[in-house]
Amino acid sequence: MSTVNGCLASQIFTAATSARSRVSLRPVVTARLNNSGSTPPSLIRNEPVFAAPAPIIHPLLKEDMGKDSYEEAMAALEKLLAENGVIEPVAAAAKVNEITAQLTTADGGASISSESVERLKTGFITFKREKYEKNPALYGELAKGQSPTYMVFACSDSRVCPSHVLDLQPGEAFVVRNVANLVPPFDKTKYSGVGAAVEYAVLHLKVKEIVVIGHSACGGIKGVMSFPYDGSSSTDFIEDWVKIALPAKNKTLAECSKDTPFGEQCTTCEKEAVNVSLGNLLSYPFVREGLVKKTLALKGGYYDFVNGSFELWGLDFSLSPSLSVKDVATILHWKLY
Amino acid sequence: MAQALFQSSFLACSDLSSNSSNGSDVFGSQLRSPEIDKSQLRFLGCYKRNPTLRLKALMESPGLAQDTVEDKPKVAKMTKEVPDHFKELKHRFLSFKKDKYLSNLEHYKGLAEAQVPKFMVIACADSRVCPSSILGFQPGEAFVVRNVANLVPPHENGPTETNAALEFAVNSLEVENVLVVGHSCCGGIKALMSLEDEIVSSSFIRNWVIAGKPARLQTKAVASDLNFDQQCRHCEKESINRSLMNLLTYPWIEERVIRGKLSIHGGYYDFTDCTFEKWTLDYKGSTMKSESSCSIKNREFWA
Repeated sequence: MSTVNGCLASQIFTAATSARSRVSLRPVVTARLNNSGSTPPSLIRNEPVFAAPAPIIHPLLKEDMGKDSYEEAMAALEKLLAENGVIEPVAAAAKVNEITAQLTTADGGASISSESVERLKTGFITFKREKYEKNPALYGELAKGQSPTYMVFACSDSRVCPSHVLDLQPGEAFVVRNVANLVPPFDKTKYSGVGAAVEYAVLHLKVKEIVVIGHSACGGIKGVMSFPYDGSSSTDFIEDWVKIALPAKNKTLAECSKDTPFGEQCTTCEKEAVNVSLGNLLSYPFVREGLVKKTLALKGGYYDFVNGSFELWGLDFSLSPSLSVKDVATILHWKLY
Repeated sequence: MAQALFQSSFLACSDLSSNSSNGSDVFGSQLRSPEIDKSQLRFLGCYKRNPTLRLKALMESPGLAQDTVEDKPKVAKMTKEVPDHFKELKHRFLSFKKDKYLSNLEHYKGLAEAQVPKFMVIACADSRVCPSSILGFQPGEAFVVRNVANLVPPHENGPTETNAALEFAVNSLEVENVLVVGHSCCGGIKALMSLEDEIVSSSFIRNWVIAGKPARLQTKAVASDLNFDQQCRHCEKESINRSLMNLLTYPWIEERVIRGKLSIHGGYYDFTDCTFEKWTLDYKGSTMKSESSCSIKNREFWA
């Protein structure tokens, strides 16, 4: 136990002395230790602490540490605070107790989420052990920056994470997930979220491929096929979002006979919606530019988890020199409603 | 008047047996599959191909090539880069199918009927922070929304894709937990912090990250003496908390939280040292709503 204590104390001191150079140290702690003459900032308050300004104690909590070493850590913190002359020893004890009190509240009550949260912890620890620590070179590079090859649009559906289905590793794909994997047409005010992602991926990250992946049994597409769009609305936001896929619905209804089962109609609509999204991507000037310069390519995909299949198709985009501005405007006109 | 023909042709890579044949004979054969006629998007309702603009879909598949337009040499030249990515993705999917799908077939068949995720996760689109990778979510466990800088705009901002997904997850799927995951070195937050310096000139990004402005203001208020990188870190965490509070502006979310049916959590993934910090929002009623900060509980730090 004493070695643990010593280790903890030395960690604190290392943090204190090399505060400036340690990137991982929490910013507010750095400020405290450097400005020993100033009054303690309003981080440690009487009310529960806000997440962002973190007390120094937290980096020392390991998942296998018991309560005993926690008490020791408290003692070590107290010592540090007193030794650095930041706070008077008595006040330091009081402050430390405040932190402890805040941290140990709500321990007793079993919430519905505690089991779920345990699941997260296991997941993260597994990731760290099996992947992060086994590939230090890769993750070291990733910590400095990212240069993904792909930008993927996938549905938020829990069953279609592209990291699973396409075995994408960290750093490979900039992934946007939303309901029914839709890409709306260019609109800076209404659809700034998706626009920001496409802009960032194409102009800043310089991805080479944009892949839009639809899937079977999509709730969003089922919604757009079911909602009447006759002026009434039953949801706050969903109908407004999935109406981006209305051209796909119209096409589906035009092509399928009335006897086609609803499920099959949805399947057709799911695939057509991918094409609508690909078409909408063309309404972004930087996407068009990338396509013309051949720095960018567009692909559509469809993951059918009922049958375990994946379809992939590419979009080939070519312009002849005689294309005029008027021609482009006509195409956009088709797409914008 | 430009008319363009937008065609797409499909081929399913559904069989492991098709894995063996490679794409070497792709350019050789010219086959016109009846599938092409099934789905065509036509501009301005006209079939006629205008030479000024042509959009054609190109499909690569084992042993089968579909060349829908007459100029073969042009196609051959342009598809030189394309096969690499096609093959790569196909290979990835087939390994997923072999290693995971087929070995858990019953589970996947069950999932095909319905999804019952317990989590809804809002994460950044950053390629390094896929929640399935870092938190180990398996298919069926988490409904995931990914956008730039994992922002949740408040109710009064109007419809966005994020709140459409929230509505679906909370009201239809009835998830039990909402988790907003932020991360270190976030480009979106950096853009937010750089806004007035005009480093961010692209207005799309500006229009989106402006939803995080309260976080930026708070950061400037308490951390202005830190250097830019440290301020960004502070802002990353601050914006997670702002997003958590914005979640409570949605009446159907607030109602479920008060009833105890829904928990709201924040998470921060630091990939410089691979640590994860997680906390839960402690919300009892409307008295806390008007304050600019919120209380948290069950804070954990995993390293």
